[in-house]
Amino acid sequence: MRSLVDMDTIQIEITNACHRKCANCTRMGQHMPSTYFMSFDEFKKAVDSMKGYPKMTGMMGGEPLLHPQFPEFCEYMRETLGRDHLGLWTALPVGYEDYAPIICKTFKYVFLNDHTRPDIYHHPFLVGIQEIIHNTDEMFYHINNCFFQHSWSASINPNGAFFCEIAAVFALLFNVKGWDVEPGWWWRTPKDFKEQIERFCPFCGGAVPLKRRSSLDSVDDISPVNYNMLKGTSPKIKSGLFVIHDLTISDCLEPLAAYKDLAYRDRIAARYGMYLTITPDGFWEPHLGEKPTPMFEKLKSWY
Amino acid sequence: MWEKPLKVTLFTLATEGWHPEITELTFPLLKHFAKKLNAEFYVIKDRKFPDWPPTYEKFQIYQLAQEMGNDWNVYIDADALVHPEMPNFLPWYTKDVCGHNGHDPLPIRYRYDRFFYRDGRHISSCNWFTFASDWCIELWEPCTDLTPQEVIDRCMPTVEEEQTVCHAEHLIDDYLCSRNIAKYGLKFKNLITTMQEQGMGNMGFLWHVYTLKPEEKRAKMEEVLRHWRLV
Repeated sequence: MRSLVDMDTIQIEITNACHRKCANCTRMGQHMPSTYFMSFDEFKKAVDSMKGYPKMTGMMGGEPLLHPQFPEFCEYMRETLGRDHLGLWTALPVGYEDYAPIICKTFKYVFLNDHTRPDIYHHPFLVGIQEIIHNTDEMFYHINNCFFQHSWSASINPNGAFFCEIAAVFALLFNVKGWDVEPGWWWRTPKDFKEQIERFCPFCGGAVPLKRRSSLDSVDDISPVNYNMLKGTSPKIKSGLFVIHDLTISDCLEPLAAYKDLAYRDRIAARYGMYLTITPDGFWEPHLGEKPTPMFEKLKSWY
Repeated sequence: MWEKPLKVTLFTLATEGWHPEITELTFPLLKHFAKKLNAEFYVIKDRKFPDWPPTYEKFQIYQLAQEMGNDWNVYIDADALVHPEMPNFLPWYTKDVCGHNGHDPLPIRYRYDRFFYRDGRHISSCNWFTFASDWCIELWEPCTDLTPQEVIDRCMPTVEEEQTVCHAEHLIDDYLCSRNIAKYGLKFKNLITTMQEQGMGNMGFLWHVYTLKPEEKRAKMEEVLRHWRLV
């Protein structure tokens, strides 16, 4: 487990609305009985709580551009935290191209993924580890070494603040509150995570190697206990778009991060009249206009 | 202003047909570095020592450098990436030294002979990045007293090398450069150390991983070019 200040990012998840219907969506939006849009007051409180956080604060969804107050949110976030600390996770959906200037003005970093290529795989988070590893000590050993807690983000959503962005999603599914969104909440260390770990992680498949599914598929993988828990409320289950998982462990060979391909991300950015450059810390910065000729192309033409 | 130009050649080795998918990434950068060195860029393409493994062809530099009348000779493997900001390091050295980017401890990979015992510096060459002036051209002197098999028999790759793509026959150039350094007592410098002395330590201007298969190497190189923000 990592302390929250050791993460690259803490996310503020301003909506769970999304124009896409990916398989095994990490935000499980299609299993939520209703869609939320964070109010400005909730968002302001979340942003204010991040003052002083030394890393990046992310704006995420769902698809954050679908939030009707996206421009106001951007302005407040930039004025409060400063562009150099801000990231945006988006698919740049069709119809919101006018947001390009405000995106470039607000965010030092953008993480583009429109989920249109078949080699982007989603882990089946709705397959609970407690149904696969029955020995509790062994289960928590694996949870303590969870790949996603070690590489993804903590998160704020309308239910509060959470040590893990997937735990935050389970909190929405279970209608459970998280930590108060108060200044400096992000100083929490693993000793503070116990209650959230015990409440959410046994239902999650993140800590166990499982076969991943192309995000272009239509169905979600779900374990029997989670299915029984969600079958009365989940629109996606009611639509029959699920597969009961056989609980077998996999070698997990499917790539998670094919979307990090710069050419893919450049193509997405170009739809908004933007281009990306790689920052010294290895992320992607958005700019308005046409991409200048990369230096390697110039070298090839020079010699 | 009049000045006598230094004659410098940047050599690399890519015998006919050697992995164009690699050289299409490395050569533009090598040519750019050659421009910075005010050097001719010269690709050794032809086999002159067919009885030896291909890597031995870099010992053609001994003859070529003399024919070209070079003051300095720089050799960089054709699968190395050189960042456009890699400094011209030649002004840091006088012509009485030769060197590599780095070097290893000799007793790990190679059987000693009397040249190594006598020299006593235990320098194991990493000759993928090598420089030597006309005063130290013996660094690339071809081997005349050992057969190819005798040289191969003196090389013992590390576990990682043996389990990947670098076997004894791939180490003969390192062995023979090490042996020439010892045999002629060539003054030796390590560029990594010099760069630290120049306040430029660990700046990541060079990338060379020799234990990867070509297809893995190409993918890694593309990653490096992205990380260097060149693409």
